[in-house]
Amino acid sequence: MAVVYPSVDWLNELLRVVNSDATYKKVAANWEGDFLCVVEMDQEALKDFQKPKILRGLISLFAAIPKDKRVAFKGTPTEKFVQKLGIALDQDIDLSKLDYEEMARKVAEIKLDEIKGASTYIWLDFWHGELRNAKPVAPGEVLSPRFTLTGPYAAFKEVVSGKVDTTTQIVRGKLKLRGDLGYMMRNAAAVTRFGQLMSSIPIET
Amino acid sequence: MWTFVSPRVIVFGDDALTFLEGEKASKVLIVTDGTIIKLGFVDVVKNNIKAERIEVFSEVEPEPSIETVLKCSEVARELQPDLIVAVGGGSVMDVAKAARVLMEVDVDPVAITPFTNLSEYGYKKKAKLIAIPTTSGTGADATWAIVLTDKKESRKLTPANKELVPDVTILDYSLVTNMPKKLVSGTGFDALTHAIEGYVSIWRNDFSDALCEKAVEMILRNLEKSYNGDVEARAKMHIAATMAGLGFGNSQVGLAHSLGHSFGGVFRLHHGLCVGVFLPYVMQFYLKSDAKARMDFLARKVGLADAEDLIEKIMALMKSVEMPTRLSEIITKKDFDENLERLIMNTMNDPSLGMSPRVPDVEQTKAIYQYAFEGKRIDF
Repeated sequence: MAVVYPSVDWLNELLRVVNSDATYKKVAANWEGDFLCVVEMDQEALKDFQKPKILRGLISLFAAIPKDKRVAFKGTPTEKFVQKLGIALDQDIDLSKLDYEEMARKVAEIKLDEIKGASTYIWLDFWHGELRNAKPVAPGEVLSPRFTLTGPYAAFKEVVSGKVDTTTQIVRGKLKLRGDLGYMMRNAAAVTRFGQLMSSIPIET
Repeated sequence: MWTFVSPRVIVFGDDALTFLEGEKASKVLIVTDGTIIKLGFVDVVKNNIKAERIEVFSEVEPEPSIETVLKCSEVARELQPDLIVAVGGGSVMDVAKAARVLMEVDVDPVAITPFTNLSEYGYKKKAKLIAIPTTSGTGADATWAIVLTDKKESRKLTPANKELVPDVTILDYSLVTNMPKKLVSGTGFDALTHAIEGYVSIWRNDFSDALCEKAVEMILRNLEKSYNGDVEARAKMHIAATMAGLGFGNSQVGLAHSLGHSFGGVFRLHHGLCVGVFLPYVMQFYLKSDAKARMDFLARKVGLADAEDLIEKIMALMKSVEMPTRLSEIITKKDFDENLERLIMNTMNDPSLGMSPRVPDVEQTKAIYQYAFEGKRIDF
C-alpha cells in the first residue's frame, strides 16, 4: 500500500514491514540500539508541502506528539513554521478538520530563511530483530539515542524512495551520522536489511 | 558531492626506493614483518633514510589482528615518530595505517569508519606515512580501507577513513622480483578482484572506472606471465595492483570481498586467495543485474565478447596460475558444513556488501557458498 512520506501512516507501514520480515529478525537478532532522525526543512520540503496530502502527512506527525511534549518546540524555527500554518503548540489538533488546501497555500508564501532550522524528529527503536517503536518526538525527548542521523528533507526523501542508500548519503556528506559507529560496522547486515525494507514501501506522491 | 582520494605522491620504477634519500625525519618507525627483515628490505630502507632515530616494529602477522594494531600503536605512541614507513604486504600496510591514527587518538580501531570525523577526536596527522609494498595485489598503499581480524569472533573487520591513505607510495620493482609464485597468484587475484568489483560497485565514478579498466587490462595481460617469472610482467603487475587500489579505493568493493572476508576470517586463509576464489561466482551472480552491461563493456575493452566470456577467461587464468577454483579445493566438506551458518552471517554483516550491484539475501548467500564449494555455475 502506497503511503505519504513523511506521515504517521508511513511510520506504521515501516513498523509492519520490518516486524513481519523474517530476514530482518534473523540478521538483527543481536541488535540493540535506537536512531533519532532529525529531518531538516529545506527547499524541497517547502515544495512538497505545497501539496495538501503531503502537508497532511507532516501535520499528522506533529499532531502525534502529545501537547505537553510539544512545548519543547517553543522558540524554535519549527514553532515558527507551524504558527505560519495557523497551528499553535498547545492546540488540540483534529486532522479531519484542518483545511490543507489553505495551509498549502500558506506554505507557498514561506521563505526558507524565515524557518531555517525547522526540523522533524523521528525516533526508531530497534531491539533484537524488532522495531519496537517508530514515532515522532519533540526535541530533547529522546536524550541519548545510540545513533543520530541528521540531514535535509531532500536527502532523507532520496533514501526513503530507494534512490540512494543511507550509507551513500552519509559518504556524500548529505546526511550526518553520530553514535557508536564501531557497533554499526560490526552489525552491517541489520542496517542494510532495514534500509532495503524501508525503501520497499511505495511512496504516494 | 563525491571525492577522489589518493596518496600525494606515487614513486615507481627499478630505483624507486632512492626517493627515500630525500626524506628527512627526526624519528622514524618502520612497520614490517619478520620475513621482510630476513629478505633485507628493511636494511635497504634504513640505509636510505636520514633520521636521528629509527625503530622497527616487526610483529605483524598475516591477516593482522586488532591486538597487533594496538601493540604497534603503543610503540608509535612511545616513539612519537614524524615518519612511519610500512615495508611489506597488505597486512603490514594496514597495521601501519591504523597505528598512525591510533598513536594520536584513543579510539576503537573498528570505530574508524568512513563516517568518523577523526579531527573531532583530536587527530592532527603528526606523522607522514610512506607505504612500500612488497607484494602486488592489496592496493593497501593507495586506499583508505584496512582489513583486520577479530580473533574472538573469527571475522574480518574493515575500518575505513580518508585519513588512512598513505601520503607516499613507493613501487620499487626490485622488491617483487623474487616473490614466491603462490603469492604472485594470490595477490594478483586480489588485484583483479579489486579492479572488477571497483568497476561494478554502486559507488563507481569516472575516476575509478578509468583506473579499474586499465588495471583489469594490465592484470589479464600480465598475471600469468608474471607467475611464470617474466620480470617485466612482474613490474606491470606491481603498477596494476596500485592502480586497482586507486580505483576500488574510490568506489569500494562488493560481494566477492564480503564472501572472502567471511571465508578468510573463519578459516584464517590468505585474503587474495579468499576473494579471488569467489570472483567468478560473484560475476555469475551479477549477470542478472545492471552490472552485466558493465561487465560486457569491460569484456569488450579487453578484447573479449561479453561478460560470460570474461568469466571464462578468469576461470582459465585461475587454473593457469594454480589458484583454486572451488572451495572444496581449500577446505573439507565437514569444515564447510560445520561453519556454513557462521560464514553466511559474517558475509551479511560485511560492510562491503552494501556496495554490491546485486545484494544477495540470506538464502542466496547460502546458495552462493554451496555452488562455490562444488564449483557449480551460479544460475540464479
